[in-house]
Amino acid sequence: MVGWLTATIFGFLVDLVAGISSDGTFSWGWVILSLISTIASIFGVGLLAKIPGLAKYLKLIIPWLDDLVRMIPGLAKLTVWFDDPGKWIWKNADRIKEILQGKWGTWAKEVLTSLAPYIKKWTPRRFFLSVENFVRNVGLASIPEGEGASGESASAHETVLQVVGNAARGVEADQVLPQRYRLEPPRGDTVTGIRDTQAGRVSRTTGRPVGAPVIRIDRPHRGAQHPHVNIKTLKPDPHYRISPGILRAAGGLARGLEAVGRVARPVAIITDTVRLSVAISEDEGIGHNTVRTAASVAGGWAGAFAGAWAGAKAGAALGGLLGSVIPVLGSAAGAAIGGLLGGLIGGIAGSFFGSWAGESAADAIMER
Amino acid sequence: MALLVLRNQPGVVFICGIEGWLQSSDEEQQWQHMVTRVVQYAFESRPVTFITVAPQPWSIGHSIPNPFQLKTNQGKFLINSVDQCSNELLAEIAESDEFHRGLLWLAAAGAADVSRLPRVIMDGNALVSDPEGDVFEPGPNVSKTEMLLLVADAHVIHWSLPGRDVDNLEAELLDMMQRFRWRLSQESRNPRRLE
Repeated sequence: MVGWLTATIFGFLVDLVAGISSDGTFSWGWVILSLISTIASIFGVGLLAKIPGLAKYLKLIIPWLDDLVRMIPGLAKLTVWFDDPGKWIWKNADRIKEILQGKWGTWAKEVLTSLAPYIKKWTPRRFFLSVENFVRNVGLASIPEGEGASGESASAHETVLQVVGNAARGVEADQVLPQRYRLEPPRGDTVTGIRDTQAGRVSRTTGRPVGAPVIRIDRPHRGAQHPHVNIKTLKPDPHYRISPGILRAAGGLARGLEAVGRVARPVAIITDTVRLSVAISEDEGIGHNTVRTAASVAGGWAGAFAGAWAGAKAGAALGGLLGSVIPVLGSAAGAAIGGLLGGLIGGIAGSFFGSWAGESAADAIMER
Repeated sequence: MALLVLRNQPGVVFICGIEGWLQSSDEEQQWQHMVTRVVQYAFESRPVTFITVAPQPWSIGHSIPNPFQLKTNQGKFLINSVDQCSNELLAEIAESDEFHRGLLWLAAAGAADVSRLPRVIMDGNALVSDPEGDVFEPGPNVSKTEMLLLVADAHVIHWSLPGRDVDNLEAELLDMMQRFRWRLSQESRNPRRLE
């Protein structure tokens, strides 16, 4: 009961998060859709969880149904279509009930354990070999030549996956949260910049500010013959001249961050799935490795969100403080730089810390 | 004290800008007041086409009626056509970040004709992006369409082929200038009230 209640409350909270888009805007449409699916699943649980009970009563009418099939020609053909799924539901009624009641242990056991042999069969050798080669080539770990995908090399694979996964989780958490400072997209003569999403005119459709750039890095344009940095919060806007090399580097960095942001979610999900699958494969079911890896993944996500949120706040505060003593920057621009970097760095650091904390907690519990 | 530059070539171009940088929030507000007045004077109660360069989800064009997206070899554009433009909408446009950055252009109604849009966009790009060009000159490629936009980091209003008599506007701006205690730059040409 407590588990069901917790899952329901958590489900409703997740519904609210579903309304937040990557650009920081909030739309009720997604929340409503998500709420509908949650409510449907709650009612679904109430109905479908009764399958084993209903089965008792169904058995009473089966002889009568058999007579009906004999009496109506063609009905026998129809029943064939429903025969196999019906038998499967009949056989697995208890499991379905547990899954629908949110008993995640059953879900993980059923789904992941049944997937494990296939993952083991199709992925590991090729995957381990390529990861091993990658690790060897980039020098992330020294792996003796000739050693297979086990022992030290397996732990190196795990480390690489963990590092990539943690970084991707941090970036993704920073993107999903409605952070105040965001990268300004390249438009017109602007190559990149930082946008304050809480500034600017108020939208007539959403009733919220549409945001405005605080800092802009511009290429030469009419009235400005050199690449320059605009700081809109300083009076007068200083138009700091920069070299074409810095302009190119800033544009490249912004494009790189945008690309990383676009792939962060799939990379995080893939690394988590591979890590969990490998752990299940090693345990041949659910064992110590699986619990430890699951705790690492869950802790990593929680840490990433907490870190991105706290990092952005702390970064903005620190940046604002530093900016106020640097006359060429100003506190608003300092806060923008600090907030943007703080969210990203905080997200990644939080993911690493959360992952480590999750593993440590799992180890401590398993040792008891 | 800000220096106002006025250049009026009747029937060809009307240019109004400031020399140097605005030094305070007060000056910024006063300049915004002038910009808003020019935009309202130019297109109040007239059909207008708004062209937004590289539109974003927060672009003001999305909240204006009849938006449609146009993709050309010069990029993506959001186009809106409004039959009767209200003063409130024009003020909102004039104060928007996109207009200040030269990313939102106002063109005469005929510009909405899809076959003419690429030419209009080319004219707009030439006005905004030419780093060598003098901001107070119409440039070698004079626009073939009536078009109003802000260039040079929102320091210069450029109204090509004005569709309204600009002499009255010039007089209004000179009045404002005196009220704000601004000075008229030596760069100015043909400000009638000065003569």
